[in-house]
Amino acid sequence: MSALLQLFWRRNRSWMLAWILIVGLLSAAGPPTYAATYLTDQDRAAATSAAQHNAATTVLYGRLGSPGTPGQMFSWELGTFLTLIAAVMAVLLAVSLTRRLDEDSTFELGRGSGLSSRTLAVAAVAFLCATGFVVGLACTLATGLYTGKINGVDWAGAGVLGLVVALTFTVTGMLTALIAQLVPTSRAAASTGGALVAVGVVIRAVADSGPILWLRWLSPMALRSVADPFMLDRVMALAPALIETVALACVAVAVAQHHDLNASLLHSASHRSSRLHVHTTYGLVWRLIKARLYWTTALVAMGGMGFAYLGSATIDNARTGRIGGGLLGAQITGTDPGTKYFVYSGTVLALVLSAVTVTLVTQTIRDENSGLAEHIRSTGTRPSALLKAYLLVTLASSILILTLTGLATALVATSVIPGDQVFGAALHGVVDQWPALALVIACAAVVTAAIPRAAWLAWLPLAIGGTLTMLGGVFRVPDRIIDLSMFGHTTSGVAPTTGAAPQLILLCLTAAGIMLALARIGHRDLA
Amino acid sequence: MNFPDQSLAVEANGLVKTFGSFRALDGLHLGVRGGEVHGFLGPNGSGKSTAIRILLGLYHRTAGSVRVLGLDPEEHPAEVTRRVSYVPGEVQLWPNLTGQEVLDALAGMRGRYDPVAERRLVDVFALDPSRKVRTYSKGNRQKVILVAAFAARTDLLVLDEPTAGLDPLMETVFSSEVRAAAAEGRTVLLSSHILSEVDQLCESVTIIKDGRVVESGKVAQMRHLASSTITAAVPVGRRSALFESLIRLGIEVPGAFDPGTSETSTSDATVWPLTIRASVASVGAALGELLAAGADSITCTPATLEDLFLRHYEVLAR
Repeated sequence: MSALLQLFWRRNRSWMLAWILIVGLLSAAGPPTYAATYLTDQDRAAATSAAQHNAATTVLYGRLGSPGTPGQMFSWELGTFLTLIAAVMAVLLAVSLTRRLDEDSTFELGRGSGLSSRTLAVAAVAFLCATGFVVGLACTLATGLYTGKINGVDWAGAGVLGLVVALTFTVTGMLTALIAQLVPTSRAAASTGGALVAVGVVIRAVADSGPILWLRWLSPMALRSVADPFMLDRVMALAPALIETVALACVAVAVAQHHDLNASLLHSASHRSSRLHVHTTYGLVWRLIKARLYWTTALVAMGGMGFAYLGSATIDNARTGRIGGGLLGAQITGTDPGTKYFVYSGTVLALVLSAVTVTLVTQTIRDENSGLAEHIRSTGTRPSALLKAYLLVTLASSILILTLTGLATALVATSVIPGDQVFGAALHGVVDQWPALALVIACAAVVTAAIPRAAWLAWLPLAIGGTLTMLGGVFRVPDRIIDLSMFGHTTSGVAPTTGAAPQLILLCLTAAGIMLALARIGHRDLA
Repeated sequence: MNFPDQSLAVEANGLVKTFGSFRALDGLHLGVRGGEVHGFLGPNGSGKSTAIRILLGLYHRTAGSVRVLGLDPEEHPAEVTRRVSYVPGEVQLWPNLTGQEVLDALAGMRGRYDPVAERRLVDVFALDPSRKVRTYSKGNRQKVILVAAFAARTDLLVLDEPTAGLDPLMETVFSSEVRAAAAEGRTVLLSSHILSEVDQLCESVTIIKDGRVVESGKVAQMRHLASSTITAAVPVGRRSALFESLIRLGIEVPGAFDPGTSETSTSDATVWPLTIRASVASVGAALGELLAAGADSITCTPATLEDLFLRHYEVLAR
């Protein structure tokens, strides 16, 4: 069993550590940010009252309790994102420990080495539980350190929030581990798990908006609303989630014991008579990633519309001077909070889309490692063809996704936010992020071409750039350092330097990076 | 399609490839004549796949020179691979595409394939191309790439362990397709561990070990140069005289000096089973001595490829 747990850890540790670090950083950055957002207690009370009566924020984050201390606000808003991150991580890890191991024959090897299917399943659920505990602990420790320093933050609340995050992780993880055995592929398992998380979010939103409070008991994404950390700290309300975790784990193990290798209860269509009319690597790459791009477009556009929907209250607070610091204050205060809000929301969307583009460009390395690139190369394509195809499709798709998202955001914004230039500000706030996105893509291409064995380096520009732009102001990082980030340099952006010049610099750097990557990949061996 | 004048379709001289401190190829020489089926043999880790990847321009050589179809694959990788069909040792395909979609994609990107040949090959290899790749067994994935390789209008087929995962019936189909390709004038470089397959299909072979060539040439010629195995039943009373004659011919006689083989041994047997190995120069004389000694049931078997190959198999792990 311990050898299995070590194997699980070795196979997943890099991305798991990154995600746990994100949870820790968000938990550490959250309380001081919310403490600094509002200039006076009156401003905070007014913002709390506005949020309590705003249907959009209730749909997105649930109900904000009174008096709206920084601890409560942190738990209410950022806590929602923390549980979402935990749920998505649980889905990915559960699939990785179950269906994916079935697909890559690891289970077959294990069974052939004398391990029972029960042992394999128990190891998977034990690993999920342990990871959930660590994620929750990271959240508790990072938040609890502000006990006594920030109003409303104490160890009890931090512990309850950590427990909420951990149980959200374990319930979602166990549910996905069960589902993964019923569906035919790891992709289907991840999609179904993701869909269940989305359904959970919708149930929570309906429960809080209704209000139909009993509905909250049906969704793992409503645990934060149920326990109410930093206010009521209802630990016992989390007991059903603990029981659910144990019950789902038992069912998952029981199903695994009666589960043949590579078998599934549900079957997808395994036959198709269509032909594939592609004549270039571009066509093939588009065919391979188009489904991912459709989903990304839908989710990013929905995110943009959500931001626009939420924007009226936030912009109103900023215009009336209630927001003076914290994350929001650093991003949207100034002469034109409306425009800055859209640049801020556009930056967040660009960060999300950048993460998708990094996975797309580095797919070249995974294709080389799996042998798929060999097939493409041996049809007479140039050594740079595959990377070039991923680059072009990603660059073109990203500008298209940003434009569609910008239009969707602008349409919603004009209907909920008063003002003459709302449409243009909302559109530009999103679309103007493309040069930053292009540079992230170019950096990923350079890593792919030059150091394919260190693919994780492709994430560094995004991580550093995103952190500087989003948190640089909060942590009083000098402007000249924040300016080094590629994000936020839009017409009227959140970066210290804005306008056409930085955009031009970003595009020049992008062009240089792409040329360097394409020149380099022809001079190295297949990974 | 034919490679002109039977000149070398593949020529590698002093090929060196290092990965850090590991020397995968150490001065490899390889010559494959146009239109021939050439076996490329060697123990695991001997450098066959590395050499093949250099031939296709997938790896860059550390030293040496390579010409494939008259071109340097490092300088002209696309021009070379456009004229080469390649079947890699480990076949992974896009799981969400069907077999037909994979064939379409590979043919579409190459731009040179024979749709009629593709349909025929799909039939003879008994492939269901409408199934998604993720439902395929290893053998079926192999079939997809074999169909793509044979259906492409190329001059050279580079096949790295191409029958791994195929059932015996499909191995027969594969052999006949290789022969058909050779009959059309296409050159085939066949890397395989199935020696009987290489023995049947290849006119010449190159055997490598530790990144260096240990034997190379026409299979018939290599057989001719290697020792033949002779077996016979020798009358017990004539053993000693026969052994002396054979030893004078330079033939090693196993157990010649064992006490049990002398005429005074107490065994009741009237004939003695004998197995010796004789070089091509001494086979005739050895057979003459056996006949003179009144030996019965005499057989003479020329060296098999397995005999040639197995003596190079004892290698250290690399």
